[in-house]
Amino acid sequence: MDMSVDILLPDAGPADADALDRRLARIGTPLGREPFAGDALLFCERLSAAILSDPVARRIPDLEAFAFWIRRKAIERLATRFADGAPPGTIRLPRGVILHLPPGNAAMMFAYGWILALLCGNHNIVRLSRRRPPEVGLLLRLIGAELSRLPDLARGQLFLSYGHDDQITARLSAVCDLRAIWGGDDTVNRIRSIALPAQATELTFADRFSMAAFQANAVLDLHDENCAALADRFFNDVFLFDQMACASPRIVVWVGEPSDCRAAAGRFYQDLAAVAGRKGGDFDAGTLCAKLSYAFRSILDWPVSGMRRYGGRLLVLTLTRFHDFRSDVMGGGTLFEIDLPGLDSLLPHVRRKDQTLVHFGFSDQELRRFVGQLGGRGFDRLVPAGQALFFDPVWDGQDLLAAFSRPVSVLCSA
Amino acid sequence: MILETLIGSAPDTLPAAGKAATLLPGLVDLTAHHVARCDGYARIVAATAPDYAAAARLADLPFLPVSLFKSHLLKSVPDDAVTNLLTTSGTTGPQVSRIAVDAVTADRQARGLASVVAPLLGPTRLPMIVLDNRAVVRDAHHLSARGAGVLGMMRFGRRHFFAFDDDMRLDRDGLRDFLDRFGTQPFLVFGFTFVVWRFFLQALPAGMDLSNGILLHSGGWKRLESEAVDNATFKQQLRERAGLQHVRNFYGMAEQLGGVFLEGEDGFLHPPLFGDVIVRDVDTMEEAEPGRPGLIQVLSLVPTSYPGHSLLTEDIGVVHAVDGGPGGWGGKAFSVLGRARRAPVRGCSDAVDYGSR
Repeated sequence: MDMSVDILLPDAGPADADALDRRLARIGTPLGREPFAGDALLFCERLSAAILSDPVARRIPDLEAFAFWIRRKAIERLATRFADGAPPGTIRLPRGVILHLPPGNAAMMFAYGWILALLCGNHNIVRLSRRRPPEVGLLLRLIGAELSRLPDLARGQLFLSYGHDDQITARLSAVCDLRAIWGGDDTVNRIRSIALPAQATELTFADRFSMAAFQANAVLDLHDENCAALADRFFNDVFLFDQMACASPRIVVWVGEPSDCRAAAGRFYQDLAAVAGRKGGDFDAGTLCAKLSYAFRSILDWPVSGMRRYGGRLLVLTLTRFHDFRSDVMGGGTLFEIDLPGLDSLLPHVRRKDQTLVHFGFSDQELRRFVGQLGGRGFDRLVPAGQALFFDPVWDGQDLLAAFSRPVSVLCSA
Repeated sequence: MILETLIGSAPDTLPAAGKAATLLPGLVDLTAHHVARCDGYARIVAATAPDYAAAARLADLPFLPVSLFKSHLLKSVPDDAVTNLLTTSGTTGPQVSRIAVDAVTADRQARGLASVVAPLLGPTRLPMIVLDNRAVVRDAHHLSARGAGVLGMMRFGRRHFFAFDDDMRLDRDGLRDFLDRFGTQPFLVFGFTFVVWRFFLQALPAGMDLSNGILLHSGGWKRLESEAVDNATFKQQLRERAGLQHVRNFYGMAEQLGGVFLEGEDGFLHPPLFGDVIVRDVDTMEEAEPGRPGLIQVLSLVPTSYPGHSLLTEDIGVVHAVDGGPGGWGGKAFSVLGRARRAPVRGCSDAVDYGSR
């Protein structure tokens, strides 16, 4: 069979079918690791330090955030969460071999899923895109250096890259116990048709949609500097990843009296636009054209009554009634908005595709009451403004620490 | 009324401030005209610039992104008044723009174009080489933008010679005959920029003397970007290979009939009196200072049959000078730098190189 696979780690180099099979055989045996073993903890600690002491890596926000996420204290908390999460009468063990198919265009996502699976004691095969941004190359280099100091751990990790080749995906799938597909509906559907071993399971992360809900009066009550701080946090939610992450909010629901909603919105967008102007980074004319084209189309085709431009970076489109635009979204600083009298009024419009609700100004009780009424409709996470893109082991309604492990029931004789 | 006055005047005689004062009321009236006759346009103006009637500057007028004509047919006349539904081939995708032209707009377009090119070509119609094939003008009621451009320019010439056959092979014998008959007097040459470069210059045999020709070309450099051709190279090659001394570019698009921005002797593009150009900073969307590049917005008093009088293009340009042209020319001098490009999209869908396959 003609195959073209690049092994990235460990022992980088091209591999033909036989070489790939040898690697896969090695990954598959033996599988005797324990969850949160000493060398895995040590690896995280060292990798975190290596990123933060690398003169280039520590300046890349995505890498810095990852280093922070795997620092010793954070991993210890994960270990506690893992131990506490075991159902009564069970002991959690690794699931086995995990095949990770992370998204190609949210480059750093692979690292989070992989680290969780590694901590749970699994062996891992990680398929990376051929179009890897420089920060991924840098991270791989640092991972490689730290893995080489821990050969036992390294033996169970395989990073590779290949193009559109279902046969290779099939070969990798044949040796795994769990396949994790991150990457949108098309990718999920396509890869899902490739067979898995009968005992293996699958985790899929499909296209999702996210919103924000702001209590109008709570925004109006803020002092100027606090409103600016809120805008600063919300900027990260909206503008990181060019607003193309699943968790990037695309619509702001203003909750309150119409006049309060309008006043709060007017105030808040000014601050948001100011942050975008200050922190926005490179902004290209092509994105502006695409945004305007989308916005004007939306005025003609959807119940949009107003469009406000805050410079080129922020476009706000006012909906007169809720419209389902989940399958036709635009990033780069395009927000829809709608006024609703209460959070409850949002319920009929929630769909299974909805992932994150970024919130501000609601009490715990209000939020819990809202979630209690969701039933099977949607929303997998409600987070305060500023945390939309924070990665958590519970993601898209799936507990990854549980998914990457298996509880073994141990019933002892009385 | 304003259009009529302006078409009668010589180009570039009004300074920018005076020009804005003349154009602004005309463009406000034209906006109201389209608001009253085109529902979609009325929705857009209500949503984006409800206070347009109070606009103090040209930059305050509502605009449409030029791409909107790809997704929506916007027109301000009844169906039976449309004499021509122009279509353009997109350079960025399979979708075409559809432009509804009626007799009134066609006439305004013709007179507008005449007022721009007449000073260059003189009072009589010149013998004309069309650097294209006859097929592009064969069906007068379903013209491509290319065909409409050719047909529009043909009015300024006589004894038209189409230099290419239907397979875009240069008719060398025909060209030789044309030059033998008319080559010693001024003659007009018209073609699209990429046709001139890729089909004409490449196929032109040595020894052809076009030194009495005046070449007008349009359509932009978009298709030539991969060959890294700029205006200077283009002109130099035409001078060296064909003896062509008088080469003028003009910028315009099918979506804005009457938006004719002619290259002056300074090498920069100039708006006609009945139109203007605004370069908008990408970050702020405000009008950019001269010397700073941004997105080009074009304004024209010509289109009455469809709301194309104020369009934000997807071209990047720069205004070099305002009222600073040679010989005291008024108005803006600008150039087109290229097409707006979009950085690769990030995000967490469409992943693993799979979805796009």
